Amino acid sequence: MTFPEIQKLLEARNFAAILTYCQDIELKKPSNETLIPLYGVYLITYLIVDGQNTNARFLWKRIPSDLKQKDSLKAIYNIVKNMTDYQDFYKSLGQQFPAEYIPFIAALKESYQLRTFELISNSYSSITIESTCSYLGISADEASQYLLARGWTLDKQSNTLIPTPVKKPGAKLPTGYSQLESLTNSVLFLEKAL
Amino acid sequence: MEQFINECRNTNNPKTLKANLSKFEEVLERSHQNLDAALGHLDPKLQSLGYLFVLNAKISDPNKNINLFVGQIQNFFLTFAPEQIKVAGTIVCRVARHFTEYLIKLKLEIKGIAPLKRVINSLTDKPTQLTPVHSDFLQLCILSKNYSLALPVIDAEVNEFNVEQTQINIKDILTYFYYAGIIYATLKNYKKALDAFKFVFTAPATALSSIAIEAYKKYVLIHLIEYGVAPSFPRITSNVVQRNIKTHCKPYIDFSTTYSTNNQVDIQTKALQNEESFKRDKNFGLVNLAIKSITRRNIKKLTQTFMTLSIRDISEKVGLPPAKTEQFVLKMIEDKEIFATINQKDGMVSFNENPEDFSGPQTLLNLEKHIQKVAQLESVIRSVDETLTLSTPFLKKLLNENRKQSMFVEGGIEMDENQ
Repeated sequence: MTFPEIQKLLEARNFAAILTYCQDIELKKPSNETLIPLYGVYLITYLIVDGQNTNARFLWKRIPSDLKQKDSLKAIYNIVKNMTDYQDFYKSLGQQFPAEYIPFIAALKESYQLRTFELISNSYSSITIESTCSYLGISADEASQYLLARGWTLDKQSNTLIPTPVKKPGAKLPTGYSQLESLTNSVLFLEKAL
Repeated sequence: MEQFINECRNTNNPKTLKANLSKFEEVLERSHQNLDAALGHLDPKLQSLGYLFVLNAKISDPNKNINLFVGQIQNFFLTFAPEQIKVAGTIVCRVARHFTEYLIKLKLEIKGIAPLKRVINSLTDKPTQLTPVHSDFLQLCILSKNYSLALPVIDAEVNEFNVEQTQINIKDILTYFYYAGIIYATLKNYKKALDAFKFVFTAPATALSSIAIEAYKKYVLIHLIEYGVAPSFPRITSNVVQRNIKTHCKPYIDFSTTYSTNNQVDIQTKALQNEESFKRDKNFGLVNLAIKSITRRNIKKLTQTFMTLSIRDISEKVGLPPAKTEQFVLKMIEDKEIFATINQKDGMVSFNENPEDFSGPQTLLNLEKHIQKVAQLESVIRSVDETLTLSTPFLKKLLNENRKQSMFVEGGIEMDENQ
């Protein structure tokens, strides 16, 4: 890849910074030429960072129309379009991509799987192996391994899986001086208002 | 011209320099052909104020090369010294406005985003201050489809404007909120979009403005998307607006009345009947979203009546194909619109209460943040109140009222005596 900065950020898996980098180039460079090899990465990074396709779709609209004919970009736009449909999404990830996109595609798949996993863990009280596979884009064997390792149980009678809800770590109770300070400020404010 | 350049180079205090340079304005306007040469002698970073005056004079040159001019402004906005241009807010805003117009004409809107962002940051001390450049910036963000870049600016909840510094007028303020509403609506943050549009048509007015009408049209449709009912006017809406605005948005009022009946077929026909005027206003997308949102709202209503419901029942009740219903419900759970668990073994969906009991540390943190915000707002209101009560027009009015009242009281006494 021609962008050493991106390579460095990719190794650190800092996708938010890659996104800012791409945005900066788009805004500050006088011509589009520096941006042309970047558009693919830019699109995928939007998907990874946002977890949805709104901003990526607007970026697609900003890409000059002659570039949109390039096969590699078209393949990526396919992913963008299919973001809301689980089955089509994994299908579009399986397309042919140039080598430089492969680490990004892998990262996108991973983050998408993780998010979907959390969602179905919390929204299903029982789910068939089949639908789990289509939600996560993995085969039945992989699925049982992946899920049993994460605390799911198999109900043999009906051959369905029982998910364990994932708890998000809550915020910590604020303590210490800063808390005391903000309380003091609130009291002072009320005193003053009276 | 030489004098002008010497002045730029030798005076350091921005305020004196501005006063001195103002004398040259006419000279600059008259010598259009020398302006480019003058720019060559000035450094945009060191002699920002002088550079700005020349650019300002160049606006009125009918023979200038627009591409070159836009490049000059762009470069200037990215390099000027903030403390110098701060004293000439009005001129900066004028140059920025023309810059925006040229960019739109050349279809190069994206090139203006970074420069105008820098102008905004340099003219304001706090993110809550509004300048005329704000609305130019948002316009460029919208036209270049860089909606998300505008978010840091519109999320700041402006509550101050410095009229003396920038001569900001009501049109700048209204367009700012109108554009902010469009950006929020495009990014599907409907609650904030409603707030922004509401500001536009509830702003104190003595006559109806077309910005208010357009904002109200979008407000009606977004209100339908978010709440499913036609909006009523907030109490602070001025009488002129309340009385007249509806006659200017007839198709929208009709549509929202039909919408409230919740009859899908009627709503569709009504939308198609008025398709032309919706499309003319570029609001047909919102109309379609409003129709789409009916399904979501119907599912939401089901959660109030039922504890559990089979997927087949849900799809029958809301008119979705059964294969899609499960994904639809899942999406709504993801968006936190409903709280439910799906059981594929029995094909049932059970609706739950909101699992958040509002007693954790997160709630405390949110509460604290809001208290702080209110406290800050209070200090702003206090200072506005102070400047208003001390202003000459207000005091004059108060004095007149007092005089009238005392005359009335005296008159009353006289009448008493006559009886």
